[in-house]
Amino acid sequence: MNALILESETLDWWNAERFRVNQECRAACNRYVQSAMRRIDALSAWDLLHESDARQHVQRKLQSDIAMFSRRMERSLRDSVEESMAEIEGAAVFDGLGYYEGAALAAGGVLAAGAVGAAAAAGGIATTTTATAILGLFTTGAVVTFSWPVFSVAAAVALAASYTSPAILGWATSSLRDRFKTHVRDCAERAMIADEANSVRMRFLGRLDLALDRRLAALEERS
Amino acid sequence: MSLADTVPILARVPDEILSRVAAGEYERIGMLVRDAASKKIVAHLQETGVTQSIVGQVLSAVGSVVPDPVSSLTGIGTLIQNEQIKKRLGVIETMMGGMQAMQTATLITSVAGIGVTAASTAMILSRLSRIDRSLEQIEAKFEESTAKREDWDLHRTLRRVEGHLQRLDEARLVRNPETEVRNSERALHDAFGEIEIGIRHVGRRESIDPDFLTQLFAALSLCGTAQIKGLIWLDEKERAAERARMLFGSYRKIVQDLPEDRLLHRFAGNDTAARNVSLLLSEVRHRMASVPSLAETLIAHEVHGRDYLDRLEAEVDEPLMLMAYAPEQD
Repeated sequence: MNALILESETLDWWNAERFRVNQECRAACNRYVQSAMRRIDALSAWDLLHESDARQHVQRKLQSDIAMFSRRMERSLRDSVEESMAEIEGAAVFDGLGYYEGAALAAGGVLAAGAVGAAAAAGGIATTTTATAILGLFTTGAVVTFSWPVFSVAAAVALAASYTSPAILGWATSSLRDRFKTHVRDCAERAMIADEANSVRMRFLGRLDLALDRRLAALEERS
Repeated sequence: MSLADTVPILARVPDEILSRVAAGEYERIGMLVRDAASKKIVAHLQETGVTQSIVGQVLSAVGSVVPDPVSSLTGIGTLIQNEQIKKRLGVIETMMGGMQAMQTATLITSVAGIGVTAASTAMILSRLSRIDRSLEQIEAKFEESTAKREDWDLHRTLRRVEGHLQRLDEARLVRNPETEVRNSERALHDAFGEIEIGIRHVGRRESIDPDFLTQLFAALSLCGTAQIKGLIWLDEKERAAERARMLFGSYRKIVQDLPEDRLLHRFAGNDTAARNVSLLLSEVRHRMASVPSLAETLIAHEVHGRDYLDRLEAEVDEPLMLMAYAPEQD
């Protein structure tokens, strides 16, 4: 089998997956922000001005959406590694353990060993044949942090103002709603798509870059 | 009986191969045809002098840039006068399967194979001057002088490349062709390095004109392919394989610097342009990756490199020729 062609196809796979991750992260971020905006629009003035469950729910829902997205993306990348290795390198080349069995075994070993040790162990298990080994262990339980103090101060000021003059209640809640929306949008974008190393997008892109390095090294070793 | 027993060393693409490619049993990658399931190489493809004739006719009919209405093979077909060649456009379409017609047309007019001549190369390179003018307008002011200097360096390199490609093409007419080819091959190798550096500089700009980048890739590819052609002409096949590995490494670095998601950003969200440039780069890389296998096959068939190239350039009817793969595979 032509090693350079394998390498070239692996680069195609990496390029396509990076593009997919980039697009899906941006699309998901947009969806989640829109959904959060609708929830914020539905909040009553009381919900906005107080530490209500409904207000907290906007944050919790966004966190949950992003965490679910990360898990789905992780699974899909794992599948993509397995499928692309079978497709590019030809399933017939590999006797014995199939990709899926290999991946499952490696993943089982990883769980038994515990997360941290397993990540190191995964690098040594069947480096060229399992998605777990190629991608490493994901720990993409995305953390969406909301900087609540800033927003809470704004809410407290608006609340105080509303007591002194009911006439400004409308203005205060509208202004607060806008600030809340901006705040939620910024948080979601920072968590999902920012160029910062901790965003979901950059973490997955980093994983893919690592996967590429590992696969190219494995191909070089084999040729 | 293997394909090598039934197909002569260099022949028109047999109908059997065409139907297998159309059915998905075989697939083309770079200039290799292989079994889609086992990934074993079946044959090598090579563009011939006819491909250049298509390039020449298309470019002289529509100017330096192929517009959308004629970018498909059907559109190109309307511009070609030779009925025999027109009939064989279907072979290109089938063998380039998997690519959209637009990309096939871009490929034919931007990145020709080792049969490329100085005439079509000059036409391709001449597009750069027009693109350069539009580039000047999009550069941020504070970057302008640096960008212009880089572009000017690139232009000087490209003019040099054009000269060496012409000398390579005319080598057979001079008294000591081997020395001429050797000198040009060496100069093209240096120029390839300079264009690569240029592309990586341009690639770091916040905003890039897709046409400009496409032309730089086309120039890089021509420069790389011409070196391989020179080495094959000199019958230094092992060196050609080794050089291909080295040039492939450069293409790898470029794609790692400029994957499609980054291109999309640099092209201000123009996803079609990002896709096309990415496909072009992938095709160029696959083609370079096919060279070591071509060298092995020529060695196994005991074909002199010059005979192989002469046969390709002398072809008048077929745009693509095929050579059965010979070496044992794992």
